[in-house]
Amino acid sequence: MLSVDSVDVFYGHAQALHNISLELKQGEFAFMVGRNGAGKTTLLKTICSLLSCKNGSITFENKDIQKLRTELLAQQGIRYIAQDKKVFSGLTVKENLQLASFAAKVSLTETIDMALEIYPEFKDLLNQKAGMLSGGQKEILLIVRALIGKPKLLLIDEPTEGLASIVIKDVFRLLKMMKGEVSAIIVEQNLKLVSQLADRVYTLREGHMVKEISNTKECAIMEELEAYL
Amino acid sequence: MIESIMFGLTIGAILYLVSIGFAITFGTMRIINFAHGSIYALSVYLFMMVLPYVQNFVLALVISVVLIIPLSYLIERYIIRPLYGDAVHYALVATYGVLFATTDLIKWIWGTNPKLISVPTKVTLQIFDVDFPLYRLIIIIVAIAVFFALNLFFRKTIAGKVIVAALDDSTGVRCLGIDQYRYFSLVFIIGSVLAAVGGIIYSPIVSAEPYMGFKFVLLAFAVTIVGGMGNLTGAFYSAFGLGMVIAMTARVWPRLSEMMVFVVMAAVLLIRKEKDFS
Ligand SMILES: Nc1ncnc2c1ncn2[C@@H]1O[C@H](COP(=O)(O)OP(=O)(O)OP(=O)(O)O)[C@@H](O)[C@H]1O
Ligand SMILES: [Mg+2]
Repeated sequence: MLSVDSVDVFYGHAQALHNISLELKQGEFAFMVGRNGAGKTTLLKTICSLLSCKNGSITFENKDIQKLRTELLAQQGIRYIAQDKKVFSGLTVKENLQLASFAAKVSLTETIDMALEIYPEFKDLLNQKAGMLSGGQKEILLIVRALIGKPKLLLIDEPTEGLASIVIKDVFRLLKMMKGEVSAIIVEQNLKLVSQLADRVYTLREGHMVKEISNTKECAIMEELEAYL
Repeated sequence: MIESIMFGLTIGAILYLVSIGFAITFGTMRIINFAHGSIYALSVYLFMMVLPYVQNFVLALVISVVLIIPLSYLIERYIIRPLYGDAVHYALVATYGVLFATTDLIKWIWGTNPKLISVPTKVTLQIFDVDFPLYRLIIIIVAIAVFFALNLFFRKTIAGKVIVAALDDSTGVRCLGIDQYRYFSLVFIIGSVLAAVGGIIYSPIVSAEPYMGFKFVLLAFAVTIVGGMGNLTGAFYSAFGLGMVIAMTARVWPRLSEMMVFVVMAAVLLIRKEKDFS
């Protein structure tokens, strides 16, 4: 469904991605690993048009999406969830959901029902300012927000970064629940989590794609993954 | 003393009206919009032109504000919007250019001499044994009413919530699929309208001169910084606080009163920086 082909990305004159290609089929979870500064965030941002690429092409469902704006891509089902776990902190949890439901033209009740089904703890938090949530709750809110209106492809940037291990379990549970329902490219350093969910793993190093594993069996072997980090 | 307080409240009210649009543009789009000063100054001159024809202060105000809206739209659409997301200084230079151009336009059409506008009501009220002009009280009430109306707008409407969300995380808004620029245009125009109203209702108290746009946009900048960039409630308190600073300094050194605003701004920036480091 998504195909990134020989893409170069620059920040000013500095090249951050070199000749990157990537392939994703409907319903698959692709994970992206790599050290700090490898270019993982840059690649996700390029796919959702927050950054533009110099060469190469990006197609989604056989359409060239390179020139489309981020807002439009989000409406067509490609949603990026940033690394910084920034929610709309001045709004309540409910209002965060409301904006997502407004954008996706889904009713607010339906949206809230869905959110509570995914994460019942939100029930008592709906009228709290989202800025008061814990890191894990913020990440879950971000993912739920992105799930409103049945997206096709989620681009999730380091969902478990900086979270305590109990909360990582919550995020893991949510990702597992989503698997098969939606396609995703997930940047993740937690190899244990990667090995349990990945259909594909891409390894980036200094802006180059150094390894691609595209069968689930190999993805499940953590030592395989570690070797390339 | 009480007179000074009342004077401070009046200036504070005007500063609030003039700053809110500037603060929103800065908070959401990270754009320092000097063209806000153009809107401020031009609307006052338009008002002066319209007033003799309609002979009614409020009606002339409404007409001038309506006339200024298309200009505000053009500035947003063709100068600010293309520069969204670019480095801060591009927009700064571009909007500064607009401010220069409109200032020259004003000089060209209306000349450089200050123009006086008469106060629409000369009624005075007795407050704490001091004569207080009703007109100034109206200004203060207008500012407070605008504050509550804006609060309602930002808390209760979708457009308002989109802006509040964008103040926190504008990428997040885009990634939900919301075309935030439409809402930015809307609040940009609201901000311009408020600046025009502020400029016009203040004009009988001071006088109109071509450079007033420069002066007020710098004051709006200070209000925005002191209020905490992007903090709209903060802008309200900061406007009235700085209004007081102007009024109180004016008691002692009238010439330095506006400069004090920038001294306070610098102090606030320094204190905030200390805090950030600790
Ligand atoms: N806005 C920017 N301007 C210039 N260079 C940037 C910018 N953002 C990132 N870079 C550079 O591009 C490279 C890739 O950065 P990127 O954020 O994509 O890495 P990452 O793999 O996501 O790292 P991390 O694990 O720290 O999130 C780095 O060398 C970084 O310094
Ligand atoms: Mg990153």
